[in-house]
Amino acid sequence: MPIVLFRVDERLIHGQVVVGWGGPLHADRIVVVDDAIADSPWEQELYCLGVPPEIEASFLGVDAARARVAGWRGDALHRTIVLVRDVATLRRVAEEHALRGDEVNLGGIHHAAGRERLLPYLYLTADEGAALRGLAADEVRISARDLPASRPVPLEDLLPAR
Amino acid sequence: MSGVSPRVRRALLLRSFAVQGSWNYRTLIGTGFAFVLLPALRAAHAGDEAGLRRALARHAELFNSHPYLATVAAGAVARLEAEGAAPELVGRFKSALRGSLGSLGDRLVWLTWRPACALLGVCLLLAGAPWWAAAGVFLLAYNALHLWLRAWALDVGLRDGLQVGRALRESPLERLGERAAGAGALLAGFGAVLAFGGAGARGTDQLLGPAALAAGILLGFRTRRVAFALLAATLAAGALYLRTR
Amino acid sequence: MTPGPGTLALLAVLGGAAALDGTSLGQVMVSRPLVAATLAGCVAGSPAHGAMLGLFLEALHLGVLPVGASRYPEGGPPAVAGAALFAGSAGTFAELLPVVLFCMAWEWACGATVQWMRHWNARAASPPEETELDPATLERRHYASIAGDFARGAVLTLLGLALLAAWLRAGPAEWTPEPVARMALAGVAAAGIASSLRLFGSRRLPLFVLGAACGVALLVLR
Repeated sequence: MPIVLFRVDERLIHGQVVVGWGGPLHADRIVVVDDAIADSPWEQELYCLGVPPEIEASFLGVDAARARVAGWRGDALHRTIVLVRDVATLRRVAEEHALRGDEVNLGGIHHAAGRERLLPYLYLTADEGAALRGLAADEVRISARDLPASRPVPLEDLLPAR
Repeated sequence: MSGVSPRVRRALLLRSFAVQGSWNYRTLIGTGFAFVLLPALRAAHAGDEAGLRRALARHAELFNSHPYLATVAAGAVARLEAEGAAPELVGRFKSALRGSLGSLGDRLVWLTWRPACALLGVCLLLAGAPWWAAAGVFLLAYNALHLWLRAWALDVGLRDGLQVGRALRESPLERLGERAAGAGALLAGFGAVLAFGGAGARGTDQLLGPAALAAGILLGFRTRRVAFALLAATLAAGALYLRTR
Repeated sequence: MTPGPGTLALLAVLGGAAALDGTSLGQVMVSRPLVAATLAGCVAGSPAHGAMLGLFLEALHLGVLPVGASRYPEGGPPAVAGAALFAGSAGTFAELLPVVLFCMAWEWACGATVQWMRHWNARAASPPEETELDPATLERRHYASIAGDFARGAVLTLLGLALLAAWLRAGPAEWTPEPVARMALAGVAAAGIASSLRLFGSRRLPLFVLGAACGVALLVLR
């Protein structure tokens, strides 16, 4: 299942993802999906500093990524980690049922104004909660987990019942 | 290095020594970063008190970095603010920098340079050097890199602004780390042997030396806990023996 | 054996400075056991004794990783406390053993207070809703945190001194025969130093062995 991790984490490429997840999952490719970064060489350069030589890093815009998801899923040669910065980007990638049946990991969204604390590493606004529910209705399996060894918290347990 | 005066640059460097002064679990190094940046923000927002307060609030937000490399961020952000860059751009820059400054610094300084220099001091002492030589050499060697790193990082930040990624990638830091790790491994072997060798073990007791070395290598970071237990057991055994005599 | 009030005050300042140097200010490594114990030894009248204690504490500190938010033992204040008292002793291994043990335990306790302090420092952070920050407020909070860390270090140094002095009065320095204490400490130091190979990478084992060979050569020649 060569998309070994599809993660929402506002820090994108950093130690916890590369070492904590990439190591145990034996990932050899990391894709960052973000329109702004895809157009920004200096930003890509900075994120690449945190990537060890054995892992290939690439940066794609949302539309390009959406078209490639099926390819990564079916790729027998590479084990891919896909990273998005926030729920809004996740929702855009998931348009046209692109992520139907996939597993998505909520890994790190920090405290900010308007956000409610759900977990020590996860703060969401009401809109983001609704967006996630919408994705779940489209058969995207969403759960929160900060490290592979932790127990995943499924979406139904995270969000208060409507 | 347009827009950032020498006086402000000196202030950034000096304040960087206190960058972790209010490190906390909510904003990590954020509050300290704002403290370091304050002189630059004052200059950039001169005459605009409200603008200064808004900028300061922005920069006191969550941020992280290795303390010695925080000047990369400080220098680059100082330049960006002086040039009037949009807050959103500066925010993205800091987000992109966070992970790399942390891991670069951790790998080079805490995991390599510091233990290597400490081992140098320890080995000197074990080899018979006077107390002031051991501590002195450690401090001199360690801080030679430490102080250079802070100043170099500030220069890189001020000079390259958004483009610091390339300078960091092409820096001598990686190679330096490799050399230091090699020296550290050498010193570790040397010191470990001297540590036990000087204990005057006789006969079969001498086998404890290689055993201790092997234990240390195999246990790795658990060595400390095992050492504590062993020492405590030794002391307790002594007390018990005296009690029962 | 117990230092006079003037010395105690100096030691408290040294301990406070060592605490600061550990994370908050400077980080020029006077907080390392090797340096802090040697300096405390100078203050208490025997730098050589201080360095001796510092050597063993440092050997056991090499494998400690202060990476980010994890919990780790704090070396500065305990080294100062331990060296201050060890400086007044005859400097035997039997006397060193209980001091090393105490310092290791105290390092762990001090490390816990570092975590508390980091939680306490969160009051220096503004809530995310605040879009404006007054410079004077920021600086005040920052300096207060630094002052707090210094106070923490000074208090822990004096407390450590008091606890260790009390324990030493029970006579643990006489419980272990000198050769046994020497062997135990030497073995533990050797293991601690060897464990640092883990930091440099196990692929550097050949260099480690080379260094060990040099060590053996030096011992044989001496």
